[in-house]
Amino acid sequence: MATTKNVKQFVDLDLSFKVNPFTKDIYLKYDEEAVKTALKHLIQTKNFERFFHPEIGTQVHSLMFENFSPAVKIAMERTISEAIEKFEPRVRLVDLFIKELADSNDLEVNIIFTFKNTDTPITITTLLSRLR
Amino acid sequence: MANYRLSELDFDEIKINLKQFLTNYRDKDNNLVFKDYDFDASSISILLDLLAYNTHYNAYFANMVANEMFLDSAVKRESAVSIAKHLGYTPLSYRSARATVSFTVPTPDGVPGTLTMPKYSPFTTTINDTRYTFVNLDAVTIRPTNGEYRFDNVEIVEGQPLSYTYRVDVSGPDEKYTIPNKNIDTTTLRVTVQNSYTDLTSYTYTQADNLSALTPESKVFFLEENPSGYFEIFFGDGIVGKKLLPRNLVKIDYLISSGDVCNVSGDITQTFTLGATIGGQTVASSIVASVNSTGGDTADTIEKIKFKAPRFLSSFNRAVTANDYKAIIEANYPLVESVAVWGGEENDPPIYGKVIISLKPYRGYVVSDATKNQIKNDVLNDKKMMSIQPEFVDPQYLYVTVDNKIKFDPKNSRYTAPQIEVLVRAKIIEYFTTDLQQFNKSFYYSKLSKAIDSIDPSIIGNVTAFKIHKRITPVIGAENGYSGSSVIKFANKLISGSIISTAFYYTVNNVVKTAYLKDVITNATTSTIDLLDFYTDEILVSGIGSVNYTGGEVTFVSLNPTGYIENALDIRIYSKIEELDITSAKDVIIVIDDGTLYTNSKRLAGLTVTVNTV
Repeated sequence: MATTKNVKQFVDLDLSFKVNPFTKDIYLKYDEEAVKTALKHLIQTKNFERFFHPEIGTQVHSLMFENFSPAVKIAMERTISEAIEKFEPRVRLVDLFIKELADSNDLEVNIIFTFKNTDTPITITTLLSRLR
Repeated sequence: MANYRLSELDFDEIKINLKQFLTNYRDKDNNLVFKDYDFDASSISILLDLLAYNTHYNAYFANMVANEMFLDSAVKRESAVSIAKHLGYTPLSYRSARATVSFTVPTPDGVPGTLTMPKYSPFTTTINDTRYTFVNLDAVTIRPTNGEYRFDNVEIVEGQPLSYTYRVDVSGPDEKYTIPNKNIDTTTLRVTVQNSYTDLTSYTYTQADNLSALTPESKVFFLEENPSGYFEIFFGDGIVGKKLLPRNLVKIDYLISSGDVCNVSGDITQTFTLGATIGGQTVASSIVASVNSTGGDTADTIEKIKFKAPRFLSSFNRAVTANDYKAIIEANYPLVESVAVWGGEENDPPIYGKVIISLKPYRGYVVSDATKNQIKNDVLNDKKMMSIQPEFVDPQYLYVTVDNKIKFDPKNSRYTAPQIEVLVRAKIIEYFTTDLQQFNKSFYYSKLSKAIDSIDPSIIGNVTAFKIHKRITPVIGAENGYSGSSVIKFANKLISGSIISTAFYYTVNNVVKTAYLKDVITNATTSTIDLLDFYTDEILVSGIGSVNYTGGEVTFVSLNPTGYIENALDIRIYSKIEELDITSAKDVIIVIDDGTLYTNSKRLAGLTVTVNTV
């Protein structure tokens, strides 16, 4: 009888570099988790931060230091969606909206996407806080 | 096992190599351990960026280290200077322009037996609306002659005098004294060493340029450029050169130079004003320079260091072969664009026991006598063989008058006809300045023609006609002979019937005529030259000279012009040549004619470009 193996489509490092106590190797991230982590990295990367590739990243950092207005909100949504479309070819962006959390001075970024070969929507929510 | 490429230095190439490595990194089931390296946002891509950057950084560093170790590939000045130091070459500093003045001081009170002009007496002059100060480097003392206090042929040097004193802490060559000005003229450096603050006894130290003659008591200092681009001096170790003692005081005096901006053409009258009194007397009137200020230059660039240092080494600081003379002159006198040196036995006629030197300056056509003497006495005297005397001759210039005709297709160009004319002019001048203007560099017609054609596709073709000419400056009102060793050499085969000169005044039967010279075709190889009336072409003097077309030589036994036409300074003798190429020789420099059209004296325009639209 044939057996099926769960072959992972996407495999990435976990940048926390924590050690798996069983394998004694560092943790890896797979498929949905791997892509979610990649999206978080992308949002938090500033343009000109990556060596020799200034185009990778978003302008979220600089926009967070603006007064939060509808125009800034639109600009923020645009820079994130453009970055995802350009640099994350594994996903199709379904929706993206930013929610203002005035009490905690945070912004909540909600990204809904699907993998390009599936229709299952996946949501990722990340908080953007201005630290300094 | 996969082949990994190690030769890439680019960031992106290195990253590709790392990805290639990961494609071969599989688990026991032959599945890729990592898969996301192709996606820029992934964690592993961020790590790969870091690794690639690190590799790129190290590769660049290694590359720079290797490059900077060799003179040919060094890009940093400090590296080139350091390598040049190994070759015994110290880069030249700024050079101050030097002028010569003579002036008379009104009789001082008490009519002293001697009169001294202190060192660093300021002479000011204005060059291009900027005031510059010149000074005498040493005090000058004179005695009155027939009651007149006259300073004759005093050399003054451009620059601002500065003085620094250092206290010796640790004696020996390890302690170096930095001169804190990058535009110092090191030839004006004067170093004295005083015993201490309380013992005022002081000694003058001179710059050492050769170790062989130094003893433990030699009062010398050594000069070199440090990695920051400043010159620094240091002293001997008690074996080679006298060692200083702690608490000695090192006093250095020097001039801050303005470089080449103070070079003034010999055609201009340069005047100076003495800004100090001598013996209590003021020299009221302005002083006209007997030799205008020349010789100023900026410091050696890295390119010059790379060029000069190996040549300097090859001469071993000794002038023996012709190339030694060239290297030493180039290393010590930066204003020479080209140097030609040949032994007297190769001269025509031979002069045994002499070495003949011909110099072309960057500006102008001849080097002043003062500069020749300076090179002879200061540069060559200690380095030449004892029985050989250097002798300077001025270069033989062969001027080329260019008449260029361009066929221009405007449909095939973004340029207009006047723009094409400007471009062609610039290209022709560029060819002469880069490919020629050196001794023994011949002119090749095809090279210039090809260079012009390549300017723009709209230039369909070009035809260039040439004349060459020689300039003579006979003394007015005297018999001037141009024969024997003074014969006018064109160094190329001339076309018979093509010789014609610019006009000048000539007295015939006590009547001053405007005349010119022209050859009369007698046979294919030789001919006579007649003096003709400028207006009527009537022969005034038949057979005033002769020409040998094959040898390219024009002879005048006696030419006695009465004057030059208006502002002319010379007589130009034009000729066409048989070949399209113009041959040079060891003492000949081919230059483009810088003359302007002057029909009243048959003077041709040096460069004419005509653009014909087709």
